[in-house]
Amino acid sequence: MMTTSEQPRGYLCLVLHAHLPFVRHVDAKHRLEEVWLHEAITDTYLPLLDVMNGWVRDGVPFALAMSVTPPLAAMLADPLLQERYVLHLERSIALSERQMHQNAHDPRIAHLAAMYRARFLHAKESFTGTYGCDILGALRRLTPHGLELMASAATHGFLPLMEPVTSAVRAQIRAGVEQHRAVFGEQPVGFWLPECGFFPGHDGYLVEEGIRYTIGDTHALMHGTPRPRYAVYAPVYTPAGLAVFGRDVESSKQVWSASEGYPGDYDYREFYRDAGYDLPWEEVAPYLPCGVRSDTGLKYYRITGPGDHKEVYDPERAAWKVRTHADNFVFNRIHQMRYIAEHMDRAPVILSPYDAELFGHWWFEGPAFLDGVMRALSNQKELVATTPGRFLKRYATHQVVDVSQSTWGYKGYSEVWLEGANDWVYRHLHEAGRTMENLAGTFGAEDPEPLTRRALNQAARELFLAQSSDWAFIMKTGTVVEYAVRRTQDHLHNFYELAHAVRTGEIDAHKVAALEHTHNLLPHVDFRMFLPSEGVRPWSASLTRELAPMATASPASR
Amino acid sequence: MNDSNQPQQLSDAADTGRFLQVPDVPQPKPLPDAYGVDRLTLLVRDPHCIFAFWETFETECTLEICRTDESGALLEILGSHPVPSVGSFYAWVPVAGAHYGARLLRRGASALWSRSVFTPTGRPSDLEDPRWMSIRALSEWDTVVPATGTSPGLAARSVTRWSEVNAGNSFSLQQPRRDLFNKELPTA
Repeated sequence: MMTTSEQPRGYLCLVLHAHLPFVRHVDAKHRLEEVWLHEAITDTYLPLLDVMNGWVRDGVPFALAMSVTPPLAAMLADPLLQERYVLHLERSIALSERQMHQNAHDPRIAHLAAMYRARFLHAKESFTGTYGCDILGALRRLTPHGLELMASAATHGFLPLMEPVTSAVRAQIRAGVEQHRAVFGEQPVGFWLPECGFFPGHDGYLVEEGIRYTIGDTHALMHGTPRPRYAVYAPVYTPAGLAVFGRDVESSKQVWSASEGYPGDYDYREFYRDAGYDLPWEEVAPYLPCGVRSDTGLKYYRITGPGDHKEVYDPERAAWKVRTHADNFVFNRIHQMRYIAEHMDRAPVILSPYDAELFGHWWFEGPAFLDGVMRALSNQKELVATTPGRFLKRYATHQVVDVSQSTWGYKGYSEVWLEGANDWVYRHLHEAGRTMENLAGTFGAEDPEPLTRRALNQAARELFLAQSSDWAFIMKTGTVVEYAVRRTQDHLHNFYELAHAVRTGEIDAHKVAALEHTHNLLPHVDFRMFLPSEGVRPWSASLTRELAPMATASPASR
Repeated sequence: MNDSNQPQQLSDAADTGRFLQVPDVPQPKPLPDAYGVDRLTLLVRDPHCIFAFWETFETECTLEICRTDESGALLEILGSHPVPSVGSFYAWVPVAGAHYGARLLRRGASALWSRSVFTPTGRPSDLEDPRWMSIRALSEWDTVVPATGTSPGLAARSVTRWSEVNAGNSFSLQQPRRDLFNKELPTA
């Protein structure tokens, strides 16, 4: 393929998916679940903002796509959680200062404690000063510079298993898109399907909301019909008109894989050794307000090797290693792109989606890795960073394919979210979805009086929260199963209580207000988005029968 | 087959650690076992596994897992199982990329049918379409001559689709929404 100075030979598209379940607990001052949010802000969201703002400051051309789910956006924008986050940082600063003094006899540990203290102080200054407690606004301000923000479903509902109640699927999509518009002030071009869960037919619902593209796992495209001509190195259009980009296995593996990926390097920080578990309880207890051992963010050891023996973390050595890995990643992508380009008549795009929280939280050096990758890309012109939206704007013509049902994760289909530990939820979620659909049909034709409307809107929020894929995931992984079960049941109980009150006309205004206050995400939700979808027919009906088998193998199979 | 298993190992391990143990979790209120409806639901789990759950008023039933055509018409009964009035069942199905259904046979009542579902093929397609159209071309197919620049099968599908669009029967690309196709993406 010819290359000109104006036209890169290929594209690299990095996509980050930022999500946490809605874990705002108004009633309890200290809840362990909120630590998930605190850690993610300190470890991932603020460092990513620093990295991206560094690119802007240094004139590094960058392109990065990122989804921010509505539950996460709601928590980031919540004043109560912002206040609690600052208190969390203050406890972390105090603990790290105490650790500096207590470890004066061990310069290596004292040095790390000082590093964490500086890090927590910087986080506090960034959060309250630079970004004015407004992480979403900081992200929004980066969009003119190269950040492409994607929408996602209302509460990260796992859409393939909601399929029998199509109004619920559509409502998850519509509420997610509307929330994105409200938060970021723009119509989203892309939509992150929770768990990369693609179900044929849902593409039509996305197009209906003005979405142009989504991301699928590798086999979403590779098992599509007809066979995708360029494998996953070009997007395809579904018959409904949605562009689907497929995940590149090679680049994903280099970052994700526990055995082959960069994050497992022995010089990187060990995630699972935290001072919250290592220190004597009396020392750490004042800084753990929940009264149980948990992570403090002070992690003093490096991965070292496969065994339990861990050596002290060396930040300078890790910084050198991450620069090496970033250069290696770009080197590999360039060679991968050159190989692929030989087999294509157009510039290939390598798309690498990751959980955002991998960078910084699980992989401490991850933000520095991203920084290094983008800066290395800017030093050459052969492989150019892009976003799916930019790529579609430049290349509008693509193959039409029936994309296969698929997810990312274990075995690539729905088994994580549908197995013995969690399959009981679908009877209840489907029934509640149908009930919500009936309520919308009954009360949606006319504008109900304000209290009824509020009760119906809150019922929609409770149903959305019950549908979060996180609960089924937790039940499967067996970690905090009781919490996940309780969240599912509590939201469904709240839903049915509101539904009954609306039907009988006996609505308790105080109860509605209390739930609005407690579960306050999706403030603009409208229950009528659950209106029965009469006449709706998914468009990804199979093309299989209409295409003649070809005798020759495709370029992708050779 | 996808390679997502291996890359996901770290993610799964990491996510497992994300959710900390929470003390003194109160006992959740139980949900009802059934909702007093007559319903049989079928979900697709993977190319070779479907999941049925049901509730019915009859106490003694037989669940049949069936191969069907796209319209849901019975082609073959794959298995028959005595089941209670409320329950669930995982069925392993022999052929990927096929339509399946389920029905509950009930004494003294008509059979209760599920909808028909389609399992993923789980493998690359044998079919190729060496030419394809752009999405802009798709959007203009009601004004330009159809059946150009694509395979006959795809053309037939699109012609049918766009005639439905024009008749107002299609949900996804109704006339007001079609501007989306031609709208320029935001300049990066």
